[in-house]
Parts: sequence; structure tokens; C-alpha cells
Amino acid sequence: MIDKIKEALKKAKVSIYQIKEVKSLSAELFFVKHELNTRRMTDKVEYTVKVFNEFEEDDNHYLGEASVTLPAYSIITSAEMVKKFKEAYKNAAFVKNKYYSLPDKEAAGKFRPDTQKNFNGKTVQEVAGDVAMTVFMAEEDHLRGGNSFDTPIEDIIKEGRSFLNSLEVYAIDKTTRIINSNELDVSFKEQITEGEIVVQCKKKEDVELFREFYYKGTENDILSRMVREFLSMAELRSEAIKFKLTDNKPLPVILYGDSVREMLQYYVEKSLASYVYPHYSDYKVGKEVQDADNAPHSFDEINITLNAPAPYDEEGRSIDDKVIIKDGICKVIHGGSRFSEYLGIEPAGVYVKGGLTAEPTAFFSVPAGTHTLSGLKNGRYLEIMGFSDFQVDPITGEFGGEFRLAILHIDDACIPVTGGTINGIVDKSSNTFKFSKEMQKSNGFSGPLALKFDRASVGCKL
Amino acid sequence: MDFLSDVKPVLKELLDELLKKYPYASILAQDNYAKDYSVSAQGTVIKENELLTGRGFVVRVFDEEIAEFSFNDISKGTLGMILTKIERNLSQLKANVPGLIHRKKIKVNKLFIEKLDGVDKIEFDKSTPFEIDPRTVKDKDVVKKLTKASEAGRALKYDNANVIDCQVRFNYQCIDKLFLSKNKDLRQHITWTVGAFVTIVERDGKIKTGYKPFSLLGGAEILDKLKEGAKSAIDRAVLLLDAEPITPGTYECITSPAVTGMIVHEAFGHGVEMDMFMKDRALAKHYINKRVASDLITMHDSALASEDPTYNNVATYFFDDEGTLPKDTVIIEKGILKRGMCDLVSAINLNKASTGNGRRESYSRKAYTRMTNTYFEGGTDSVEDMIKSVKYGFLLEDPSNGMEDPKNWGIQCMVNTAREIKDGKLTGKVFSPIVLTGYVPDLLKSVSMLSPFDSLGGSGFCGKGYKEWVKVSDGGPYMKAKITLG
Repeated sequence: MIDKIKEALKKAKVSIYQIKEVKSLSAELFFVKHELNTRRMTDKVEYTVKVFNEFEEDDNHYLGEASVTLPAYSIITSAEMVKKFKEAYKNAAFVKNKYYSLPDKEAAGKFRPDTQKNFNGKTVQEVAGDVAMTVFMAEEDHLRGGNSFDTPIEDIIKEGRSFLNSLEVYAIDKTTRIINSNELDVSFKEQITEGEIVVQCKKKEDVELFREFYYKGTENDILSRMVREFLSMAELRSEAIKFKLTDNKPLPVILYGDSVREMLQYYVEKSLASYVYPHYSDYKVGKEVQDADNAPHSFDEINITLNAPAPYDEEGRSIDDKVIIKDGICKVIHGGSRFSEYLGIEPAGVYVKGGLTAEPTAFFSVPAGTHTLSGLKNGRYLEIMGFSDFQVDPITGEFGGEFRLAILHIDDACIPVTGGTINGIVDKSSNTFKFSKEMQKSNGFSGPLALKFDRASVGCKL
Repeated sequence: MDFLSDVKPVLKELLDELLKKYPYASILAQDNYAKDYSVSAQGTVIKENELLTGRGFVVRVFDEEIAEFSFNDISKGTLGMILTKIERNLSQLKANVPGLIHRKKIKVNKLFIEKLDGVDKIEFDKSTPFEIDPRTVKDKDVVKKLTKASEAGRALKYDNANVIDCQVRFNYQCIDKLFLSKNKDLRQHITWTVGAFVTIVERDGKIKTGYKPFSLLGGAEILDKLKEGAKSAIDRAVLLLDAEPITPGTYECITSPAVTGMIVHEAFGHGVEMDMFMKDRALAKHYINKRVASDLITMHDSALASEDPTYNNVATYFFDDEGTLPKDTVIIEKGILKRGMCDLVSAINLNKASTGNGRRESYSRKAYTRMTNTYFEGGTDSVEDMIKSVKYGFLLEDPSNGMEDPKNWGIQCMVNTAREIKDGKLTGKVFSPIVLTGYVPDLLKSVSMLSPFDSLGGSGFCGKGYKEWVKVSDGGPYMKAKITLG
């Protein structure tokens, strides 16, 4: 197909282009309680072709771009492709984006073998089955913990143990090839397990918790641990009482898990070249991102390393792990060819994915903090174990969400609570950040398990 | 001939072969085309939308449970190979399902097959209306219009703010789908368009954003709406620079149609998607035929094309992704919860009929119960009378995001603007950001006034959890209710 596309591009007189081929095979299992509801397989190949048009107008030099998506060769004709490319080429002339250069074969570097975690030779069907088995075994361990093997599972659940409500498992084998008109030609393989888990508990209130997982290769030990912890959290949530604030005193907050990633991803996005160029962000190399001078007390400096999710980025450039924030100072403005060239910097590479996708937006890591988890837990504070949804606006830094489970530590009491909200602005809280020494790894993030900070506004349902 | 007409004979042959091996088989084929345009300080974008564009097929068979195979490579010459691939891959997956998993023993008889495929033979080819086919509009003309609107917005001067950007977007999707089964031969062509202004303003390092969307079941005629709107989107963002945090509490509120829509969709709608009933994940299943809202509230979910175009929007269709014809489903009738909406597989499990709400992100994803065009019916009160009736409260506008909580009916929605109302008058004071919380039935039971039906908005996508994106719309009237704000 690649040759057919190149031929069609030639016929359409397109000389600057990028072709991306993605072949994927996935096995998918959908369970409701312990019953298989649906099984699915997907086998597809898709192409995205970027067609560029270099032109000059009124002494300005432009590189316009229009993109075309193509299916497998058997269901599109060469004539259709030529027509699409001609149209795209013509349309790219209306896209007056300042000229920039596409990466060449030097940017791809030397051949890099696939070193990512994989399925160790197993098929996607076998891996999907293994992942499902891992989750069910973890549930079985949780349910059997402290109970005799003679006790029926139904009785254990009735007694208040949490259980698996539903499970989706995806095992995906994906091969990507990127080619451009500058002789760049790279390919890489990714094998991924992902899915979502809902657990339920009827101990006191009938409650549920929802969590996604995403791993390169398989991480069944991490997954198993996560499921068991998650089931325990559901039991805690079942006993949680409605959150109520009794006073207006400041209440520091501890976040766990995915919400820690969401908070720190703000810095990943703020240092994007595509945000800096149009002034959505005032980040530049050397910028202090935590307002250290006005810190009310000691805090942990932010250190962020972007992790390369594949050996090459979406433009085919060779990428490695890259430190973007070191000791609270911005070290790199990152992005692809276009915005980097506009800013007059070397392209660091595309590490952040846009658009609606089930994959993590960015893979990044943050080192362990200076405080043990037990060290963070002092005084009065709200320890938020899980949100229904927690969001951070990458432009304004406003964050907020409603928590489904938190532990309120106040006056020497630890009260499981539910149904409150927090909101605030990342930049106003960042010079109070304290990270745990304990770490987590999930959904493309490797970093502290917990983040404690001040100046979040905590509210309750009245 | 178009692609789906070309490939149909091969697909029919494939279906015949599948029906020899499985008691039920169907094929959904899609040839969708979507394009995105935007002009902003970042530059100009013209691109085919990768998520919404694509040719491909999904075969569904019944083989102990529902089993599906999605693919996008077929020709007359490769038919035998495709058939082998489908059988081999699905049986290998079946062999790897953990042994401890239960399989519901389903009696595959005539009645069961009728539940999946219906009783009557149905054949049609239908299209939604549009004035201007977006595929016929030259990109040059689209970009020209967007550039003019964006530049005009960016050139606006304010004493108290700098305009950083005024992004203008235009998107469309032309959906072409074919559904084949023993009893069905269905074809549909749907065209929707969306336009939006996304603005960013700044003062002393403080940044705020504004958003003004438009959506239409129709064509490029929506571009006319982009001639104006930049100023109001920027004004909204500038207003937020002076906004104050609100004192948490329960207030008399009037929701704009867009905020009403968010409450309909996020707070209530997700809880009546009946795949959630099947999983025991929705409180609503215990409230059928019980009061959940005030007498004033009647709620619909309808993908059915209405004769009144006001009720049609981006989620209108003639059959869903499981080949079921849609209904105008009345979910709440005068405050009483009557029924939910349902996909085919959940309907069979629950022993109910599908309401035609089985939707997929694309041919390569699973179908789930999904909302379509979801709204509250209008009332008879004027917006002026509604504002006059408020002693102290807020007019809530500009929804930003919301999340479902079907299990507990908790409200978790955010809006950008709360305009203060004192003694029946807007004071000009604005509070932001605002989190709506509370218990859904409490809010709906407190509804005391409704304006006539205003509009549906379909600028965004709806996810199931954080994936499976489909186009939906929601809306209704201005609504007066007691709402807990934080």
C-alpha cells in the first residue's frame, strides 16, 4: 500500500508529504460480574497522509498542510487516492502557515530495535485471557482473604466484601510506520494492555468505584495489586459518610493516583511549544514554575521527565526520555517541527498526543518526594482517594472535581467521607507541593503515589 | 457508484456464508467522512478528522455470546480468507476466556433470533436534509470566512484585557452506513455541522477562556452563524477576569438552555442508559414509575428525525449501529420516571425491547447504550418573569464539563458563569467557576418554572467513562430550580 500511496502522490504532483501507517490487531473481552457479555476482535490498517504545499505570497514563505485518511488498499482505488491528494494539495495552499522544515532521515537517527515491554510471544487472544484471569484471581484473593474456602462467594459478598462489577480488557498489537519526503522511514511495534474495572460494595451503602488501566506489554503483578487495593477502597467508600465542613479553617489536601498525574500534567502542557508560540503559556527555558520566593513553607521542587512512549515521535523523529522541569525550573520547551522552528528552538519531539483517544495524553515521570506517606499525614487534612472526575484546565490551571472517597483527618479522628468537591488554581498551590516517597505506575505516569498541597477550596453538598 | 453500493454484493455474500455457520449474523459497514477547519493565533488547520473518517466493517454473530470482528480490508477475491479470519480469530479468543467465567446458557430459538433481528423484513435508504453539502464548499472559502472572523475577534480592544486568541472552528461529518442481516437491508446518510469560537483573554498574567458553539443537523449553511459571535465569546471571557468565587450554598437558580442540557445529559441521562441497569450500576432502575422530578418535567431522548427541525440535531439517525430503528423515548413523563434507553444486547439481557440507542464510536469499537438528542420539554414562563421571581440567586450560563454518577445520582457539573440576581434583577456581578452539586432528584423536584423550549446544542462529544466518543446533543428550556453551588 505504501508504494501505491507514493505513486498516487507522484501522480498528484505532491512532493512534500508524510505517510503514517498503523496496523493493529486487538482482542477484547467484556464482562458483567463473572459473565462474558461480548467478545471482539479488531484487525485493521489505516493510513494518514499529510500533504504539504510550499508557496510564497507577498514575500512571505509558507508551508500549508492538509491531511487525508485512507483505509486498506482493497477498499480504495488508486484513482480515488490521486483525487484526494490533488484536492488536499490545492487546499493546503489556503493554509498560510509560516514555512518550517520537516524532519529528515538524520532526525530519525540510527535504526533502533524495539526495546519496549511486549507480550513475550503470546497472541493477543492469550494476553486478553491472561489479563482477565489476573483480575478475577485478584478478586478471588480479596474475597477469600480471611474467609474459609467452604464459604460460598455469595455469602462473603452479602457480608460486605467488595466485588468486581464489570471489566473490559483490551490486548492490542500495533505496528506504526512513518515515512516522509525527506527520506525518513521508521517503524516500531507497540503491544499494549488496557481496560477498565468497576468494583462494587454493599457493606453499608451500595457504592462503586471506576478505574482505567493502560500498560505497555503486560503488568499483571501491578494490575493484581491495583485491583486488590481498589476493592479495599470500595469497602471504605461503602462506609463513608456525606462530607460536611464544620469550620472555615484551611484544609490541606492529599491527592492519590491518577489525580496526581492530572495535576502534574499541567506542567507538561504549559511547556508545549504550541502553547508558548501563541502566548497561551508564558513558559520559557529558565522560568521558575513554583513561585519559590513566596512559598509559605518548605515544599518539594517539581522535576518532570517526559518518557518516550515509542522510539520515534509522530513526525518520525528519534526521541528519548527528556527532562523538561528540573528543581522547579523549566528546562525545555517541547514540541514538533513547526512550533519549535517558529520559536527558534531545536525540536525536542512530540511527546503529547492531541484529540480524543483512550491512550494517555503523555507519558512522564516524576521522582519520589522527600516525605514518607506517613510523614505527609499530619495535622488536619483531607486525603482524597478517588474522584468521580478530576480535571485541570491546561491553559488557566484551574482544577476541580467531586470526590467519591476521601478520609477527613480532623481533631484526631479519621472519617471516610464522600460527595465533597475541591477546586483551585495549580499555580497558587504549587509552592506548597509535597510529594510522597512511595511511588505509583499507571496510565503512562510513573511518580509519587501522593501529593499534598494547600490553598484548594474544599466544598460540600449542602 | 459509491463505495458502500460497490461493496454491498461482497458483504451480502459474506453474510450468507456467516448465516450458514451462526444462528445470527449481521454486518454494519461505514464510509464516513469528516473534516476539521480552524483558524487561530496558532495558525490554520484543514484536516480530515481521523476519529470520524473511515471505511470499515463490523461483523456480529451469536456464538455462545455476542461475538464481533471489525476489519477494513475486503474484496471479492479475499472473501474466503476474511471468513476464515473471522472464524479463526473469534474461536481462538473463545478458547482463551478464563475457565472460571460463567457463560449464560441462552436458548437459541426462533424467539431469540427475532429479538436480535426483528420479525419483519425492512429495507430503506434515507438521508437527513441540508441546504449546502459541506463537501461541495471550497476549502478556500471556508478558510476565508474563518480567518475573517478570527482576525476580527483578535483585533478587538478592551481597556481591561488583552485578547490573546480568537479561534474559530468549523467541523462536519457525512455519515454513510449500511446494515445487513437476514431481515434488514438499511442505508442512511447523515450530515451534521458544528461551529465554535474559542477565545482566550489575559490581564496581569490571569488567563480566562470563553466558548460559543453552534451545531446543526444540516450542512455548511451553519457558516453564516460564524459571521457574528466572536465578540460575545470574548466578552464572556473578559467578564470572567473579574469573577469572584461563590459562597457555597443552595440558591434559586435559572439555568440557560445549555446548562439545562448539561443537567439532562450528565446528571440524569447517563443514569438511564440501561446497560447500566444490566450491570447494577444505576440507581434509576429502582425508580421506574416513581417520582423523580416536578410535574413540569418531561424528558425525551430521540434520534428519530422530527418534523420540527428544532428537535433534530447531531445525533439524529434512521437506524442505530445494531440495526435497530430509533424511537422518541419519553424517559420522564410529568415528573415520573417511565423508562430508560437501551441497546440491543442489554435489552435482551433485561428482557426488554431496544430503544435504538446502540451506538459505536466507529466500526472498530463495541456498541454501548448511548444517548442521542436528549432534552426537557419546554413550559410557558417567560425568561423575564423567571428572573423577576428570584429574590436572591443566579442565572447559570456556559457549561464547561460534567460527569455522570448513575450509581448515586450525584450531580457533578461545572459552569463558567453565574450571574447574580437580586430582587428580580441581574446585578451585573459574576461568579466563577461554579460547581453544581447535590442529589439529582432533589434538583429536578425543585423545578418551578420553565420557559418555552429553546434549543439543542451538539458541539461536543460524549464518552462512556473516558472513551467511546459519540456525537450527542442536549438542551431544553430555561429552567428555574433550587441548586447547590460550590
